[in-house]
Amino acid sequence: MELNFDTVIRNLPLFWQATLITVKITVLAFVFALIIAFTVGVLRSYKIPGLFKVLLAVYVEIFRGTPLLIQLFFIYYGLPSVGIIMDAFSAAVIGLALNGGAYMSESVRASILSVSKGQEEAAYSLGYNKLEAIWHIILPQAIRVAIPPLMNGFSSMLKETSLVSVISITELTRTGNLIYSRTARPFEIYLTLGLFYFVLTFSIVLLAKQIERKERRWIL
Amino acid sequence: MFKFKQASAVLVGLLAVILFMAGGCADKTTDKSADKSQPEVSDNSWTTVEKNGELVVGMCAQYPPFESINEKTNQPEGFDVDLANALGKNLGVKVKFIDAQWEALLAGVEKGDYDVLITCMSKQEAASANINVSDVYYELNDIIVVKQGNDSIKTVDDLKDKVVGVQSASSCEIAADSLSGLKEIKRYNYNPEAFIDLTNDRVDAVIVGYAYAATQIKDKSDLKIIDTPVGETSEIVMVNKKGADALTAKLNEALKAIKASGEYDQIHDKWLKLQI
Repeated sequence: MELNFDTVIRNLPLFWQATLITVKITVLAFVFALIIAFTVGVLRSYKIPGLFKVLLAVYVEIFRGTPLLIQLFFIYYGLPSVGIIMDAFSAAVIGLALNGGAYMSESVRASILSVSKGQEEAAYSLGYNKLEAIWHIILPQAIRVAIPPLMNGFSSMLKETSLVSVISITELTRTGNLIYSRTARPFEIYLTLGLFYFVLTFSIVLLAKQIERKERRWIL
Repeated sequence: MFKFKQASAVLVGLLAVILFMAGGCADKTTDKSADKSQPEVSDNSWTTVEKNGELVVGMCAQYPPFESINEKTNQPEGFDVDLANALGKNLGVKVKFIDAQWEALLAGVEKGDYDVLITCMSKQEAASANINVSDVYYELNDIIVVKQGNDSIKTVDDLKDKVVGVQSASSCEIAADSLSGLKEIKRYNYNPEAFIDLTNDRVDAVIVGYAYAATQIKDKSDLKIIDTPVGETSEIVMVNKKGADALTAKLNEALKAIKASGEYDQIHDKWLKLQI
């Protein structure tokens, strides 16, 4: 078989379009996941009413304990049976955010645990109340620890978007399959597809490096 | 800045690896074409099958009534299954079915995982791949399915500005792509998902093969079939590896024989007689 990248070049506009959709879904889902992760992670690190604690634990364990593919199928194809109907894009963002949020909340919790207990006690002795202590003393120190695993979550989320093709979103992976089924050139097309994903995730790596270098100035 | 340099070094390195791989493959190609120039590279496609006493049939058993997995027996069943068995009987070999992902079938037959694909694949769907096709064994039209009570779609032209669902990598997808003015084409892994979305108003219409629609939708009272063909008629063929001419010829012979004996009609009536 001769290699022929013409098919790839001819279909580049399709790839660009799909990249845009993949990036859009990833960024939106990541922002929501961050909000979920910090809320859940902080709450689970402190004493909260029992029922609340159980609910949060159930959420985290269910979304970590089942495959994302099944969660997406359930949200998009299953929920309509009980009257909850949403469009594919929302279902994708919600599914990815809930899933990523569950994982990332554990990173946040771990980072809070890494801040020594003495910091909190010192804050109280200076007259901070609990919320102030978390906000001004604990979180700024915890975030520095949380950034690498959170950015890790960002790049795995980007790759997981390939699963949303099953709910009829034409993102990068679906576009690759589409072009492949028309041209039967798996080598060229999947290589290109891989390259697109790699460039995207590598950009996240660079972004993470940048953030880690500058965080000191932002936070302290 | 130092770290940026490191990063770009990684990227350049990756690029070099890819180019190297591409170069390596190009070399192999020349080797192969040298092989081809030798006269009569043995086409042992049929003799291998005969020797093994087994015809390996690849299919994606997600497309009743052509092929699906029986809920009770866990075995594939359908028009293509019975047809393959009849062909096998005629050729004097056993038939073994392998169920695989639709997208992987063509690559699989090229690679030699299956002797033949009998999986309601049309000439058009197979056209892109470098393969052999048999004589046409069935002609299939794609049609439109809409929700009961939807009176705004009566012809293909009415699909303008509508959201249309199709099974990905199917003749229906090709048909939908060829229509202009659609609002959006939603591509599903499999037809049942498209129908869930049709029921839930997330698509306005689904384009699907006639036989599938007629047998699967007959018990769904909320959907209706609009019986006008969309796109070209699909000519359903069996697919062999490129150059497996002996096997293709044998299959064509067997197909003719079972058509002449009336066996084909029996199988056809069993699975594909439309009950609308």
